[in-house]
Amino acid sequence: MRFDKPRTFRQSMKWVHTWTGLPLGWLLFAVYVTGTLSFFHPEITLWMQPESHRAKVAETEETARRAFEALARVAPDAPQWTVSLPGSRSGVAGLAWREATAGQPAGGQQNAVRGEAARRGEGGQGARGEFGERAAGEGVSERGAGGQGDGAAPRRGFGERGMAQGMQARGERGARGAGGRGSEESDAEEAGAAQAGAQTPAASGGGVQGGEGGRGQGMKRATMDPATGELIEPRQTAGGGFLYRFHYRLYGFDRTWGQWIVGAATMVMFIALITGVVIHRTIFRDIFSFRPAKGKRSWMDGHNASSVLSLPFHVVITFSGLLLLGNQLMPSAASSAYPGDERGYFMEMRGMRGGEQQPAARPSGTPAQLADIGPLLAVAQERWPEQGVGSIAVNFPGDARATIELRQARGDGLANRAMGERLLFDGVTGAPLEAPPVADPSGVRATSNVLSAVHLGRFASPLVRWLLFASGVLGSVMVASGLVLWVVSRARDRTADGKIPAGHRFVEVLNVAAVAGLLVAIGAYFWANRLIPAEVAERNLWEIRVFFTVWSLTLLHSLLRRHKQAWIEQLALAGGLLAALPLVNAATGGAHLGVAFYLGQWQVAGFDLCALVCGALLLHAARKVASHVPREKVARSAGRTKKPAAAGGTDEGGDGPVPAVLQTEEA
Amino acid sequence: MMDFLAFALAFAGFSTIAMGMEGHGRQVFGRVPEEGRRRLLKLAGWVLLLLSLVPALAARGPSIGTVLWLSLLTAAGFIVGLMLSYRPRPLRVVGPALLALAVAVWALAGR
Repeated sequence: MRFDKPRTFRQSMKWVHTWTGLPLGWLLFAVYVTGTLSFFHPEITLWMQPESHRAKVAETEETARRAFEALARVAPDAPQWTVSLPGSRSGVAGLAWREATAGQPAGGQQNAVRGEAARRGEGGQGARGEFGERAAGEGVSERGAGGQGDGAAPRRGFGERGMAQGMQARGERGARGAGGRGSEESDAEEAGAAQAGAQTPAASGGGVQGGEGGRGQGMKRATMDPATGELIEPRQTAGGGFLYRFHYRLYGFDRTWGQWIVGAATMVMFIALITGVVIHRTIFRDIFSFRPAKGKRSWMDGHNASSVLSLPFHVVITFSGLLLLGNQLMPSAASSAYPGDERGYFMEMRGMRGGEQQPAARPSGTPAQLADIGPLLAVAQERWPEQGVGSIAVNFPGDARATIELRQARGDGLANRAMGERLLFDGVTGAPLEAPPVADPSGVRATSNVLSAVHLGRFASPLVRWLLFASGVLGSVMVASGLVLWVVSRARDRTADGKIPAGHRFVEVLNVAAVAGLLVAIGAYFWANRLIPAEVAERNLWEIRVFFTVWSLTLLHSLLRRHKQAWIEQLALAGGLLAALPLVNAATGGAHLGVAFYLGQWQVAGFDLCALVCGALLLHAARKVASHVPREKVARSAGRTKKPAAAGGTDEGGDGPVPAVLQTEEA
Repeated sequence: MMDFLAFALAFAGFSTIAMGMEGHGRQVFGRVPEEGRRRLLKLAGWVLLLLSLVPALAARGPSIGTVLWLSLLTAAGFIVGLMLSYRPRPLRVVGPALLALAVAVWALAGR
């Protein structure tokens, strides 16, 4: 665009669209792809722990009994047990317990919260389906397992530094109270990060282990086969959690920086969306227009269709993404509305009120038999016929003051973040106790909850999750086709002297590495998960190293190869890696498709099938690029092969991340 | 069932709207339908599209129902777009057939 001439509003917007989109498009593509995968991050983690694949389905009641037996075996003295029952998102039962401490749980006001705060927070949702995460190493464990806001305590695989931080934080806890940050997910997952060490205890609502002279005590976790009651020892893996965290704070950066970078990219995404709508004049008339094999026209159609058809998704996901990062990006909003009382902000965000702390419960010290869980589950089942029970928490098991709390599995209501009800029982007699009421969220909080719940996929129905996944794939296609479009639109500029300007070459190289290279790296990441021996130390870190090493190599590759060759080879490689994943799964101890169907391991089967489909689409795309002949007009004066897609008709279809973007015209 | 009904309505709606457009009408029918007919098709399409919101809300409630509806619109629009590009002719029958099937299943299965 020329700046020395008058220009229309649309032209200006077009300029903004192009030049904000391009530099951040590479990053946005990665965010879109990993974010799309994150809709299924518990399932991905489950797939990455083939040890869990053998688990068979069992009756809820049986599972609960076996879980209690297992817990009584491994943690008889623990002050709290949590059992996450297998659900639609995980085939295994998750056990978690607080370690027994030498001293008795100290009393005092801090302890008073006794999980109440946390229970009311997201943590209370229990882990149904999220438990599988268990990514160790980075010190990260999924929040899930319990009401106690387990983001808090240091856990297994938690480094010493984390420990120290945890202790220190604990000391401060009284003052900080329910700190943490707006996006609870991140809190919980940060447990390993030093910084988080200082923040998360807050979320624990004063962690049960609170007063023990600062000795860090954490949640221990185990995975149980619901059918046999045997404890499974899944391998250490970075799991879906790595992809999930990458999509909002990248990797290797300080958490704040990562979130700032992604936050800035998200804002740019929002700008690109708005300007995109402005410059797309015939938004309704062309909504279905896709004219294949028409060069730039086709790329433009594909870019438009993938944007417009899922425009509501793009707007909501971008806006809610900003909202989730909002507290990080604009901290003064909270600090000016709650001067000097950061805690009040977070409490209100989570629907808690500061004064709601209850007196600490203490064990009586008198041993007593735990009530039978069967009748209690029956009561819950009657009360929640649709959702059923998601998780069970037992306080002071084996003590006369034991309580059993049943938590509803996640439902579909978004305004309360699908938070369920709870039923509280006396742990010895089985008599119902008064459960803490679930307050209706305020209008503001409900709005915020709806947006974040959609973004985080916090609801039960798999259909909606799959549809959102598909929209995410379309979004990835949108970003990738936009990147390609930049090159395609300029194909003619360069044919004059047959040389490719350095700037164009730069964009071409980065396009290949950012789009096809990322998919290769993701494929390699899953392969690494299975090929690195299960007992290697820091396994999870090795998986991540493989991911980034392969991604760097694809950049090198696209630098060294001609543009078209680079696309073909990387697409084919990515397709091959992904399509072969079901075989790798079968060969390395996972439940292959037959077994997965037989055992009802839908999460594993879904992963395999999805990988197969995506791989096939990428291979198809590679074939299309390879067989593509640039159109006469473009090829005429070209000394070198043009961007293969230059004359390509895209088929904006396809549901593999990206694939279709690169499809070129039918020969 | 209600999900399928919502999808069928959305699909029928989008394909009807497309048939009411000049270019796409030619793709589907082989010739451009006359002005009055096109207007009617478009109107019918929009009505179907709005109707598809009803089963989604009825089955899923306001919050997730809306999310479901919007993402079903995306899916339906996407498939209609693909068919227009590669197999436009069958669109004449696929929309109504899908809708009839969905209504039948819904009526038989009893909501």
